[in-house]
Parts: sequence; C-alpha cells; structure tokens
Amino acid sequence: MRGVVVTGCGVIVPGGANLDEFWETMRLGRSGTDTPTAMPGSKVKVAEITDNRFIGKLPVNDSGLDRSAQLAVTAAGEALSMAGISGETADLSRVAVVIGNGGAGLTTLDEQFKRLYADKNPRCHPLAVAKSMSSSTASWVSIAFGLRGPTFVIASACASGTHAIGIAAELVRSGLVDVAVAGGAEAPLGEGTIRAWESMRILSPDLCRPFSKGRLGLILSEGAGMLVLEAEEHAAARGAPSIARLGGFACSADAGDMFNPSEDGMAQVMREAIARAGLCVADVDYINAHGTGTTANDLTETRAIKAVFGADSAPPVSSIKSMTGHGLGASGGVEAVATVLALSRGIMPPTANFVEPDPECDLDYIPLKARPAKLKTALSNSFAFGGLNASLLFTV
Amino acid sequence: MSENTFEKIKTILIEKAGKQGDEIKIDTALGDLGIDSFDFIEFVFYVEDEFDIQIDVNSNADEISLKTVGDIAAAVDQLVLAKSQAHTPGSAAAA
Repeated sequence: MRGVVVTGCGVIVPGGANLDEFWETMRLGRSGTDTPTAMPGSKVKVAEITDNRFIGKLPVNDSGLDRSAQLAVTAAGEALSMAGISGETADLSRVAVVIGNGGAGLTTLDEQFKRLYADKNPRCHPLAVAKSMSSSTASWVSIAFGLRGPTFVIASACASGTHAIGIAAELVRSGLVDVAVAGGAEAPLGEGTIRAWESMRILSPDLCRPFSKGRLGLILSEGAGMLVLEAEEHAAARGAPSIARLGGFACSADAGDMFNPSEDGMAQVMREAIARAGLCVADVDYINAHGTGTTANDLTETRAIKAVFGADSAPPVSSIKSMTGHGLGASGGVEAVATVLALSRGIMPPTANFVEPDPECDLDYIPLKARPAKLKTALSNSFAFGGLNASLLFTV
Repeated sequence: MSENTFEKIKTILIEKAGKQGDEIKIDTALGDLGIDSFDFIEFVFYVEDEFDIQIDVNSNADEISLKTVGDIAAAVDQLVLAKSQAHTPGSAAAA
C-alpha cells in the first residue's frame, strides 16, 4: 500500500476567502461577523467569493451553478494550484474528485420551491436538476480542472467532508488513482434550510462557544475545504513538496440514536485512525474537534477523548467552528485544512468565544488564543447526525 | 390557565405523542410521560402550530423552565394573549 501525502490545500469560509485569510482568522481567533436571517434573533455566517479565477472559467454563468458548487470549485482550484496539478504534471485520468456534502443543491431547491409554492410560478429553471444534484459539486470540480478519474460525492451529514478525504486517501493508497482532490462543500443558507435547523432549537442566539459553560448551540455557515492527496512516490517523482502525511482514517456508525452521539463510537474511530497510522495515543499532539457548541456533542466528545487518551493525558483540543460556524458537510474538509496547517505552520488554532470552563468539559480547549507548538501528529474529528463518526490522522 | 388550552395540549400529547389521556394532568411532568429532549422539541413544534405562536426554547440551555403540562399551558396562554394585544387596533403594542 502506498503512502498518502497532502500536496495542496484550499479553503473558503466566512472570514477567510482563501488559505491565507483563513489562517489569519484562525491565528487571531476571530469569530467574525454574523448575518441576520429572516427570523428574529437568528443569524448565520456567510462566505464571500472574492477569487473568480476558477468559477469564471466555467462554461456557464453564476446562475448555472448552485452556490455549493461555486464554493467547491473555488477551494479545489486553490488546492490544485498549490499542488501544481495539471495535465503537465499528472495523468488527469488518474486524478479523483471526492467531495462530501450533506445536501448540496439545497439553495437551488429552496429557490425553485419558492417559485412553485409561494410565487405560484409553475416553471422551474431549466438547470434546476443539474444544479440541485448533490453530485454536481464533484462534477463541476472535474469539469473545471479536467480531472477524469473517479468522481463522486459522499453524504454522511456533518461528517461528509471527513469521509470524503478518508475514502479518497484509500483510492490513492490502493493504487486506483495517483492523486485525489477531496474535501467538503456546502451552501445550506436558504431560508427553508435555516428554518428547518431552527426548529431543532439547537442554533445559538448569540455566539458559538464550543466546550464552554453557557454554550447555546451552533451557528449555521457555508464554505468549502479541499486537500490534494497524492501517492507519496508520485509527489516525489515530480518534486512536489509534501505539506503533511495522511497516516490514518477510520469511520464507523453508532447504529443507535439519530441525534444523540455515542462516546464509544467516537472513541472507536479516534483509536482506529491512530492505530492505522502505526502510532499510539501518546503520539497525538493536537485534536481538531468536531466541537459544535451543542450540549450533547461537546460533552460526549470530551468523554470520548478522555476514554481514548486518559482523563489527565489528553492533548490540547480546539473547535474552529467557534470561528467558521458550522458548514455541515463542508466542515470536515475545512477542519482537515486547519489541521494540516496547524501541523505545517506550528500553531494550534483556538476555541474562540470561550467564556468559562464547564465542569463536565474539563480538557485544554485552547481558549481564545492560538498557541504556537511544534506538532508532529494531529487528529481531525467529525461526528454527524445519524451516529456517523469519522476521524483523520495527519503527521508531519 | 384556560381549560381550553389544557385540553388542546392534552389532545396533542394523545394524538401526536401517543400518550394515554388519563395520565395527563395539569401538574404532570413531561419527563414522567417519557418525553425526552427531542420529543420535547417535537411537542413544542405541534403546540406552536396549534396556537400559531413561537415559544422561546433552546435545547442547549441548562434549565428549561417548561417542565409540566401546566407550565406549557400557562406559557401558551401568555403568548396567545400577547399576540392578541399586539393585533388589537389602538393598543399600545399596535400603536
């Protein structure tokens, strides 16, 4: 089996339209600006696409792409540019595209349903089907960059981006492809989707404060985060620098409750990801947590980390959702990018908006301020509704 | 609280949550009816729909004050009253 290295990263989130802006937000622990929605007291985080280099080249205008695909192409373009992947450096029929999303196309569906049911307009936009297929995110990345290898999406709700990276790494590891661009992309901020989330009563009315006492839930968000994963020998042969190595991936299902996460399921994937990298728990220097800011996730994730690492020997943990908001299927991709940058740039991003410790969440969550550290090994966790767990282990 | 409000809430608990009518009293705790946190959010949704109101609840709050059937009924009466006052022409809220 081949080693898998990361040779490119790309990202777009609220407060970070590219890798450098994103990392500045992480480094400064900035929570950014929230945008009010149509519902009183409700707010979301909105990304701003400032780099039109990649979507500008597509053979359609903006109205031909769901926003999730625009975000996917923007982040994938940045990652592929960094990696230097083109027809001159790689056989593009051996480059895969694997993108996670919980429901790409939701914005398009929302718009079309409004036309039909609210505006009583019986005609749908002719590209409504092409725009609302969740696989359109992967198709547009393939089309934009001429990538002709296996191309598909993975849907595992808020773990989608992490599953996508893990499965793409296995495609590379097994030799099915040489390179994969993989991550998550989601644009769920149509009014219908926001109202559906609001009805669960888990959206924070103020800020997202993962692991903190007084946390009141999550802030919905959008974005995309992509990695270029490459067979180690392929990268070496073309002289491409490795930013990090993807050492281990594990995923599992709780087969239990749709909403309440399982400590055992979370612990299982962390242990397996570490073991598959040939490492032991003491080797892990940092954990990029799922950390949604809900009571249930943060408490269960804390207990799972303690079960794996020991109550007194867990490494520092942080949740960047405090800064990016929760981009659902995009979040695993965005957080994998943050984890790779933490390793390569030697800074652990903080948990912003932390106010005071919760007696039941008693780990080191890197509150408020980023922390410089020489890191060698880091985990990135995602735990989704439906009891779907995934964890990635990166090393440098 | 209004008897009518209580009866409507009782009907929701019977029809939507599958509870037995004889176990539902004003002072019955929702927890004693086997309503867990997610059942509670679904129950609140049906109550809001029935009375066309918005009940302020966050699942992540440490303490949810609406613990009994009577608590819900009282909150509903208060919100329905506030809504009717807001819609009464010439009232302070409408002005």
